[in-house]
Amino acid sequence: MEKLKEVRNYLVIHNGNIQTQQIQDHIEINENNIIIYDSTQLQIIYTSNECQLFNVFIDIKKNINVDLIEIYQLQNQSQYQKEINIEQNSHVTRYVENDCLDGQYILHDHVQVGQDASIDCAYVELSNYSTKSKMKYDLNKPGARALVRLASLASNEKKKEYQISLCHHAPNTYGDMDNYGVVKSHSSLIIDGIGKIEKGNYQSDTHQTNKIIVFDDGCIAEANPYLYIDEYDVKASHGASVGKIDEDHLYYLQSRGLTKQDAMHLVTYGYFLPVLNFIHVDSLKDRFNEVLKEKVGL
Amino acid sequence: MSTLKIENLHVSIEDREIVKGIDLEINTGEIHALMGPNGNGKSTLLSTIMGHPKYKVTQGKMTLDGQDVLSMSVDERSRAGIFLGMQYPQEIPGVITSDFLRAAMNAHQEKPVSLFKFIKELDKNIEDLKMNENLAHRYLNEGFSGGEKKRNEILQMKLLQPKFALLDEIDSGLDVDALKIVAKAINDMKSDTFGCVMVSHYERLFELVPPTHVHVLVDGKIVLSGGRELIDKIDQEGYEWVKELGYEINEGENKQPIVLGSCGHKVKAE
Repeated sequence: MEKLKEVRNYLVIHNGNIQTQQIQDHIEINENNIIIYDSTQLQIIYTSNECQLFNVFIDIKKNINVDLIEIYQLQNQSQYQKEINIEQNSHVTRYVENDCLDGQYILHDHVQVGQDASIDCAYVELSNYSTKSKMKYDLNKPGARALVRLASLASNEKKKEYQISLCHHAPNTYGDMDNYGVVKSHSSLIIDGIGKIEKGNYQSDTHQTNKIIVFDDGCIAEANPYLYIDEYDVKASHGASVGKIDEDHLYYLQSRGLTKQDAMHLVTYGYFLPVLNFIHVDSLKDRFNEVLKEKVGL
Repeated sequence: MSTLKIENLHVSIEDREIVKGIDLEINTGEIHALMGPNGNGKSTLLSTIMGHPKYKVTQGKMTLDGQDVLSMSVDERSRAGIFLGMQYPQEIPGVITSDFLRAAMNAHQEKPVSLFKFIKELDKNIEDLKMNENLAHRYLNEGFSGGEKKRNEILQMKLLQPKFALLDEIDSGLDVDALKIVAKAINDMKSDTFGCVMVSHYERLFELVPPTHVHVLVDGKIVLSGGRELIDKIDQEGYEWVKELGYEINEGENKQPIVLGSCGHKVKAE
């Protein structure tokens, strides 16, 4: 994928090493450590053709706003382990898209959120590949906040598994995740959502919604919410649903001439569309819209 | 001219027969009013014509210009020119109304409609129906008032230009002004290539959209067909007089009483 035109900073990381860099402002690179010290936008493309584990560290300094756009275009069984540290009072909007080429891909994403810092992150997982990914958000200091949205489409006999955790390590922290999936054509999709509030971390909120639509027979779908709460003075909620598209909705759409397939695609498109709320860059909005239409078959 | 022909139609839901042998022929250029007490099969008939999977046709034929309608899927019936304006339109969260409308228009055309033409047509019809233009950008019917939903049905009818529109209590939920707007939209559609079946309980709609044919449907059968004089009679006398003609009126579904069993579980009474 090429550089988005509005984005000032662009990196290509190939097999764990920075291969291309077009850095205009506010970013320092020290081997595989990326340090962002003032408000900016950064687009990173991850590529690989080796079956290995690669590490990347991103350090976001305090009191800044950052748009982080990450696209994976991996081959073979690559594994990326990523650490992101968000310091005090900074805000990050993050868009992570898998545009993998083949094979199975594994992502271990570990995000640490500091005092009064926040992150809104969308994972866009529409490509035709298998994955086993873990995303962990540690809310380390009071006022830390994480909003996570997963949009995952599993098709063509692929297996996708996600474990997404919101871990509250301080009082007055807020975590919310909406994990949405569609599974079709003999595929498997398993989403584990984990909310964890340790003792003493009062006035914290942890919420999660996990929803999977099953298109056809022969698929495996699991949406598993877990809440581990060891404190009374908190708010917590979880919801999980796995099921077919509402038959009455399908009938209504078909009664206007849409084939069953088209009706299902339209519902899927709408189901994933709220990811747009996580995108601030106009050309990325257009790209996401195009990718979504292509992948859901509109 | 197109013809929708129904012969000896019997329809059941969960082994209970609702429609018990209906014959009806509708030509384009005609407006048919279908009246009858609640629970006697009017909505079932319209939903069956559209192909709702809940209703099983146990006997009879239905053709559109000689083509077998019963063997068509719901979407094929729509593309063949049948439109059902529903009594209770579905709310579909996530599906944006304008995306849906464009997809529906495309489904009826060989070549996709251009964005420019679609917006132009949509804007014009939204203005004609005096709808809130924001509705097109909201999720389909979600949070729409009863009147907005009904106008949205009429909007779809106008965009899709069907041969036959089946309008199921399209006047319910509409205030007087909205009813006039909807009636005008139906009247504007009138032509030699458009036919319509309207179900309503109220004379007011039929005053605004005068039907060419009126049918009274009781206990799953059309017991009487005629002209506007039937509407006046029903408006003044209700349906009691139908019994004098020797027909029984289905007083509605025979719902079994629900009693609470142990621990508050609902159980059906024997």
